Formats: sequence, C-alpha cells, structure tokens
Amino acid sequence: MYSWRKLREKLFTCLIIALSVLAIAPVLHIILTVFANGFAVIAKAGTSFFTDLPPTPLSKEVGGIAPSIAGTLLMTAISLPIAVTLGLFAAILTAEFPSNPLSLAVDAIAKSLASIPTIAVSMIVYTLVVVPMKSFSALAGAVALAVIALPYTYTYFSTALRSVPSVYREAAFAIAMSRWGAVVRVLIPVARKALTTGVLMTVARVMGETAALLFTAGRFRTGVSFSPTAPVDAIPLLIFDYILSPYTVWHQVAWGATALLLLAYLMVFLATKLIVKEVRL
Amino acid sequence: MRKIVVAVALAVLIIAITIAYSALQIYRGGKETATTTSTGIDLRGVVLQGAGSTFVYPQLSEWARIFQEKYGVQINYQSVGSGAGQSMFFQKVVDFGCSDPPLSRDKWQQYQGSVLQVPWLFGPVVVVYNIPELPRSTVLRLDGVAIAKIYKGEIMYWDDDYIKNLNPDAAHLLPHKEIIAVYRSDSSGTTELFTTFLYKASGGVWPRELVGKSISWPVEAVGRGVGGKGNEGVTQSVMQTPYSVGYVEWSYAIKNNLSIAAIKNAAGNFVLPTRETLEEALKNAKIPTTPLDDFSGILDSVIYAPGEKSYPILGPTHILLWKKYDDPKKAEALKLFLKWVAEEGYNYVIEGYVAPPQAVRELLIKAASEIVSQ
Amino acid sequence: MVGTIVFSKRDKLFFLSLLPLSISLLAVLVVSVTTIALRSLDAFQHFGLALFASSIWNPEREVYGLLAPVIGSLTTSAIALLTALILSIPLAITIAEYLQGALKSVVSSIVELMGGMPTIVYAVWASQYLVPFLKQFAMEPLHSALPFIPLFSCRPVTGFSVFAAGVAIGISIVPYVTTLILEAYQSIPVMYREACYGIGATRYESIKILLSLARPAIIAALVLGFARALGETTIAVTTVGNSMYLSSCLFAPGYTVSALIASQFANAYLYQYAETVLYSSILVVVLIAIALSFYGSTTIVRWRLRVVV
Repeated sequence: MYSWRKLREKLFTCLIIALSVLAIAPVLHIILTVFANGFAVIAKAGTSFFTDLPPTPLSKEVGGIAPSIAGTLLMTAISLPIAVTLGLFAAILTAEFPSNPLSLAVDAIAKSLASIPTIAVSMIVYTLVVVPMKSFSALAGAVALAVIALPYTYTYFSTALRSVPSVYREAAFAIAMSRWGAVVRVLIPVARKALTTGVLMTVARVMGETAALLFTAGRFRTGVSFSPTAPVDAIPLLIFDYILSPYTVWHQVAWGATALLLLAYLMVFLATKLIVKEVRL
Repeated sequence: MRKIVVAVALAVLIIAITIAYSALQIYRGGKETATTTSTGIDLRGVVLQGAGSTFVYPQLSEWARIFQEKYGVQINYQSVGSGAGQSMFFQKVVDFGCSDPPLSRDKWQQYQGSVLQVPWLFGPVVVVYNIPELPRSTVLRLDGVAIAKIYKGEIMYWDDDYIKNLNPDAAHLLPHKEIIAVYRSDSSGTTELFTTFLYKASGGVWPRELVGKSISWPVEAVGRGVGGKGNEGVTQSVMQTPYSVGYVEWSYAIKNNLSIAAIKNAAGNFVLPTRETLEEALKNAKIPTTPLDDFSGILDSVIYAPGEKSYPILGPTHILLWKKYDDPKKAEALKLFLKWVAEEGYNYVIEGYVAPPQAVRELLIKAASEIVSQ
Repeated sequence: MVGTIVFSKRDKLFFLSLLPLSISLLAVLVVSVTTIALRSLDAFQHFGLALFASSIWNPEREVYGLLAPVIGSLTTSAIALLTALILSIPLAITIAEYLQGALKSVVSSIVELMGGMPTIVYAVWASQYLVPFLKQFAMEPLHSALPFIPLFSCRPVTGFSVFAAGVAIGISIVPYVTTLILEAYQSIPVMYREACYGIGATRYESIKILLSLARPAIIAALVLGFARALGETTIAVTTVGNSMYLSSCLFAPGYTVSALIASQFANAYLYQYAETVLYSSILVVVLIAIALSFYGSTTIVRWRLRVVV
C-alpha cells in the first residue's frame, strides 16, 4: 500500500528538481548567449584582443581591451584586500561575541550597506575622493568597489564562521589556546572552504561591477596605465559604454569582453577549488 | 603535490600578465616628429581628459584616434551625460566638457569671460516607427500637429483621419491598431530638441510647459506610453513593439535599420534627414561671433528653421573650455586640437553627425587663440 | 539557566583587538549616510515631507514627488526576494543532496559564474529575452485568468513593469543566495544527517530538519538579497519601464529609486533641486534597509540563543 510519506517524498523530489531546473535555465541561457557571441569575437581578434586598444566606431578590426583588463586587475588588487580584511575582522567579532549589541549593529549595518544604490556609491566616492584629488583614479574606483564588496565578504565570512560547530572552539579552549589562537588555528581552517567561496564570489562581484565605477574610475582607454592615482578603465565599464551604442564593432568588443571575463572567473574558480579542499564535519 | 602545482601556475600567470602589461605601456602616436608647436613645447604623451554628452562620444573617439596617431596627444573622454559633464568641468576634474545644451544664461553670466563654448557638431533627432503593414519603400509622413497629438494621447489609432490625410498614398495600408508612443524616460537633450520642435511646429497643440529634458508625457497617463532608457532603450522598444513610434538620434536609426518618418518643415515640405536637408537647416542658425558669448538662444534658431529643404529637428553639442589653464602643455594641446578639428577634423565626420557651417570653424580657431596658460 | 558571562582580561584584549577594523565598517556606513543626508538637506528644507506624497518628476518646473520610486523599490525588492527564495533553496538542496561528483562541481561552478556576470550584460539580456518571455508566459495568462485581483488588473503593454524588474533582479541574486545557503548546509555536521536517517526519516523529512539548522544562514542570505535588490541599478533601469505613474497593478511600468537616479542624475546638475531630491530618495531607501536589516539580525541572534549547533 502506498504510504502518504512515500508519496510526499516523491512529490518533494519532483518539485525540488523542477524548481532547480527553472532556477538554472536562465543562468544557462545567458551564459551560452555570452559565450556564443563572445568567442567568435575573441577568435577573430586573436591575442591582440589582450594587447590592443579599443577600436573607433567605424573601424573594421575589433582591436582589443588591454586598458580595461589592466584597470580591472589593478582595482581588484587594491579593493579585494581591503574588503576581505574588514569583512573578516567584522565576521570574527560577530562570531565570537554573538550577543554583544555591537555585534548586532555591525551585522545589521554590514548587510544594509548593500542597499545603497550602486550608482549612489559612485556619487559619494566622487564627492569624497575624486573632487579633492581633481582627477579620476584607480584608487577612487577601488574605494567604491570595496564599499560594494563589504556586505558580501562580511555575510559570507560570518556564515562560514558561525557554521563551525561549537565543539571545535570548546576543544581549542580546553587545551588552553588563546582566543586568537582558537580563531586562527581552529576556526578559520575548519571553515576554509566556505571562506574561500566567499572570497571567490566577492572577486566575481567586484570584477563585474558597473555602476560603482561610473563616476570614479575615469574610463581611460587610450593607453595602459598601472598607476593608482591616474584614471583607468574597467571591463564592465567598457561593456556598459559599448553595448549601449549603436555601432556593431563596439557590440562585438562588448561581447568579447564579457566572454573573457567569464572565462577568467572559470579559471580562477577551478584553480582555487583544486587548491582548497573541503572539510568534512 | 597537485596543490603546489596549481598554486605555482596561478602565481606565474599573474606575474606574467603584470610584466607584460607594464612592458606594453602602449600609446600609439607621435609619428610626425614635428609635434612641437610654435612655442616649442613637445606634446607627446600629454593626456587631455574630457567628459559630458553621450551624443558626441563616437565622433570624438574617432577624432581622438586620428589626432593621437598624428600628434601623440591622448584624448580621453567619458560619456556621463551633459549635466554631469558640466559639473565635472566646473569642478576641474576634467580639462574640457561636452554639453548638448549650451550653458544657461545664469551659468554663463556666473563664469563670464573665463569659459569658452563652441557648438562644434550638430545632429538630428529622427522619428522612427514600427508598422508591420507598411512596406519599407513607403515612407510615413508626419507633421508637428500629428506627433503632438499622438504624444498627448489624442490620436489613438494609426488609421486616424488626420494621419490618413497626410499620407494619401498609404492611407489604405494604415491599420486600425493603437499607437504605442515611446519616449525617453531619462533626462536627455534629445527630448529637449523633440519637445521644442513640437512646441514650435504644432501651432498651440503642444504647450510650453511640456518642453524640456525630462517631462511627464500625457500619453503615459493614458496607458499607451513606454519609457525607454537612453537612445538604445527607445530603439529597442520600437523594434520590439509593433505599432509603436519613437524619437532617437540619427545614428541609432541608421545602425538598427529603423523606418524613419518624413517630417513637415516650416516651408510645408515633408523631408527626411539627409546631409543636404541638415546643412540647409543650419544655414540660418544664429551663431554668436565669439566663443566667449552667450549661446543659450541657439536652440531656438536651429529647430524648425526656415528653408525649402530644411530638416526641422536638430540640435548642437558644445565643447566647454577654460580660457586659462595652469598647465601650459595642456593649453597647447587643446589649442592644437581645436585647430586640427577646424582644419581637418570635419573630413572625418561619421554617420549620424553633421559638420557645422563655416562660421563655427572660425569660432574654433578663435577659441584656440583665446586659450592662454599664464 | 546560564549565568552572566564574566570576561577575563584576555577576552577583553581580544575584543579590543577586533574593534578598530570592525568599527571601520560602521564608519563606512556612517560616512556614506552622512554624505547622503547632507546632500538631501536642501530638498527636505524646501519641500518637506510633501516630497513623498505624490508622484511627479518635472525638473523644468522644479516639481518633484517620489512616492512611485520609493514604493517601486520596495515592491521590486519584495518580488525579487520571493523569486530568489523560490529558486535558490531548491537549487541549493539539489546541489547538496541530489548531485554527486563532477556534475555537482559543474553545476555549482555555473551558479557561481552567474554571480560574476556584469550587471549590464545581464540587464541587456533581461530586457531582450526575459521580459518578452515573462510577458507571454506569466503576465498575460495571469491577467486573463485573474483580472479581478487589483495586482493583475492592467494589461501588460510591453512587459516592462515592476513584476518584470522584480523577477529579473531576483534571478540575478540567486547565485549569492544559493551559494550562501549551500555553504551553510554543507557545514552542518554529518551526525545530524546520520541521526535523521537513523530514526527512519525520508529524505524530504531530513532535508526539512537540516534546513531548519541552516535557518540563520537563510535569513542572512535573504536580508543581504533584499538589500542588494534595493540597491540594484542597471537591471532595474532596463526592465522596470521607467514610469512615474503609480498604480496598484504589478504589470504596469513603474520606477525604482536606483532607476530614477540612473536616469536622471546625469543632467540633475542643470536644475536647482533635482540633485538634492535624488539624494533624499536614496536616504529613505537606505534607512528602510537599515531598519529591516536590524530586524533580520535580531532574529538570527534570538535563534542562536535557543539552538546551539
């Protein structure tokens, strides 16, 4: 006889699988669209896609996105350590002192930072950094990106640290480890997979952020610059400008750039997953 | 073991990329060794920063590339919008600004004598439509009154008698479908040109209150209006929505193969935007004689201009410059650029833009001579 | 009954060493909110709270009403949250429970990859593919089947609407919410799962129990997702329809605060009050988000005090 429990089980499985397919279908569709459009462009351009300057609207060749790649790398390199450090320390605070009112405040505030419209972050950083410096700069862009990334690093890190069962902390204290020792040598290594995923997701977010760089980075497309106080370009900014124009060659560059960005993520994600092993609790 | 291999590979890759890009430090240019000006300053490697109108960006990037190859001066431009461009220019975050509307009279008075403006490019606004029943060879004819009534919601169907009267040949093809009017939801100079035209050409149907960069469209309240963000938003809406009408910059209509309507001008003829019709409209533009002057009246003289073949909807975009720059290299580079645009730049005008009349070229030369660095 | 905890000197030193960098997080928010508040003072002084009583955007006449964008922001974020909830939890469960080995890595990599998609590309895709799809398969059927409910009462003309924007933003936050829930779910010690199966629970029942253990992560993910949905700019601009017209119907074009700023900020400098009014709209949205975030955080803390994992 068919029991009600078994029926529920089957229904549940079907529902879950159906919703998952629904969730992943748009993701697959957009990734496939990007790759389909972008790979053709990169293949046509070859390695010059990485070393050339962007084309003018009427040119026949696709050119390249070297300034944008350099700018994105530079700004990610500056903003990521800031966001990760601040997020980590805040996460340790809230994980170690959960009922302290300060922890509550930090927790709530870190998450609500994400509600500032990304374009408003760019406006604020413009007022606070760009105008006094009298110039757009990679530094301003990195500051804006760090502000955007903070909620993510904090939430991922705090979830990761809180998921560590308290037995491990208690064991550490039982062998007379200091509190910092318990954090650095027990808590973080146990949670390392979740922490790494948090860092990766933040990298992805930072490298793909568009609106925060609109009034801060400078869109410097006429040369490659590695100086933090000079204007730079970023791949998402390039895509933003080009995909909203009516020129085909610019559209092609935009698609190629997106495909390149996604490829870069894939490589970084796979590499990191190979290095960091999961911890079975 | 595997961990170490992957980590080392990643590190090597990052170092390689960094070294490669540092070594590249590319800027092309300076092929002519004569990059010094009359004052003997070497201009190679100077970077000029500009910001402002999105309209001028494609043309400026074309000019910047050619100028960079010739003289080695880099011109970097950010298309953040005319208002933001003006703001950045006045805050001295960029060296020059590009703004579709000229400085308002108040602003001009505030900075009188220290700011130069030149309307260095003109571009038309075209009316595009999407009526599946009309073949590509038939061009829809519209006038100011018809468009005004459509955007006010008073004309509801494509086969309205008024539209039929304007198009006697195609009247039988016009379907009985609701007109979806697409407008710009964001603040835009294109809207200002379009609404100024409606105000001037509709004989009272379109009121003065509804002229501006960002207005509340009457057709929106009726439920048949769609707001698109930017020219690309309007383009996409018109392409995706049958029986719609919208207004965009010329280059978007050309590049996306949209059907363009012929508009009735002040002389009573239905004209399409072409190089000739646009140049005809500019012949009668009232342009001030010196770049230090107030340009706030220029729109009025250019839209719905007299002339048998003039196209009625077009507008200028201006370049804003300081009279005095602290950096002599930048001042020299700007002067060189203005002179180059006046003498050679207008041979490289791309689709969607119109070279201005001779008076403007003289303005550019005058502006070049006005800029000083001491 | 747990007595009050006495902190030793070491604990206090530990706390103090964590303070500076954590406080800087607070400092970031305080600086941002202060800048916004200072910039919006003008608008409040001149218009007062009447600014939020109507729905107009007329900078030429300096007449502003922000009701539609503020309500639009809240509505789209609510819809986005619902969409993310419905899609992420099943996705996380599927990856954790029903997939193994290579397929699991591939699927979770695809989900993480989506998190890095530049929002403008996603926005373009959403406006070209998602909106017509929603219009045809979700909005029109709902409108013809249930027109008496005010939420579905208007005919979707182009599909650009609060509903479309909500779903689009919801799909865009799925990667973050899913990864967060997935990591928390996979960190639950194996003994709980063994205990569930040990008493003969079916898979469905044990998933229910394990999910309840991951509840603080789910709440945290939802709070973050809601805040992110409030702040999402490029996607909102291309899908919400950009209309100041306020209506109770979900299928009519609407506005969100971030879309308003993205559309109007470029030229706001040319008018007298446009810029400060925009800043005041940001202030309202951020304050609401802070309030909701506090609520979420207290819920998590209360859960933590009752259940110790």
